[in-house]
Amino acid sequence: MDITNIETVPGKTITAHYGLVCGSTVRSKNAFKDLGASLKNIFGGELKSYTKLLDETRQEAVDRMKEQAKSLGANAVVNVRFATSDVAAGAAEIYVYGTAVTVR
Amino acid sequence: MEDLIIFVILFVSSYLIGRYKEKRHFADIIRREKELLALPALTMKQTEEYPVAEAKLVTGNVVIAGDYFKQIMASLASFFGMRLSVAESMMDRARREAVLRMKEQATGADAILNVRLQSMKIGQRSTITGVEVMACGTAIYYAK
Repeated sequence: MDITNIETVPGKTITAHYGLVCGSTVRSKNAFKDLGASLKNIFGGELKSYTKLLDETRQEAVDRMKEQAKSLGANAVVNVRFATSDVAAGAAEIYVYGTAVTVR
Repeated sequence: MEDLIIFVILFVSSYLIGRYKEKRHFADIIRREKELLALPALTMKQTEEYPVAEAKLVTGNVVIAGDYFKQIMASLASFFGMRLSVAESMMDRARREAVLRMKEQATGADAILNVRLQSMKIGQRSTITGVEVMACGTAIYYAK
């Protein structure tokens, strides 16, 4: 499945549109908390566990969007956007949306 | 008194260690940026009219934490309404690292189109606990 964040899939032509598809995951920030993170908070630097967790969360959202597109019969998603929102205190939502299309 | 000693030790050590880490990270970023200079990350949606063989979404993300020194300086500076230079360097570092990770994911690509950067705050609103930066774009491979 082709996924792009521009209006087309370069090198291919769009033959059908299926409308908006999306995927979202909500993760609680408390789950991020670990000893390493609080230590890093004193001396700075990269929080690898957070980076990995957010990357996985985003991947999960993309997978859900792909699944939705597949169930519609699409073989590509164009103009994909990533968004985040604070759902509640201590929780964040990662939201991915795009337009499902058929390309040839 | 003991509290003051702990505060001074934390303040000084976090300043020294944080500065050393940041310096090393910036040196690493500059080295990798030079290596990846051949792969342009563009904010436009179109490029040269070459036939494209493949296009795929690439992302890169990083979470950078601010140190104790930065948090103290930021709360002081925001009290007086000054420029938060400690936060500026942290944001710059996170953004450049995210772009580099995105580029590293697009091995062998000829260009990355429509690069977007977005950031999310980690932790409480009042302190600079950390920041997450995500870069995404469409990597394209020209037909050879």
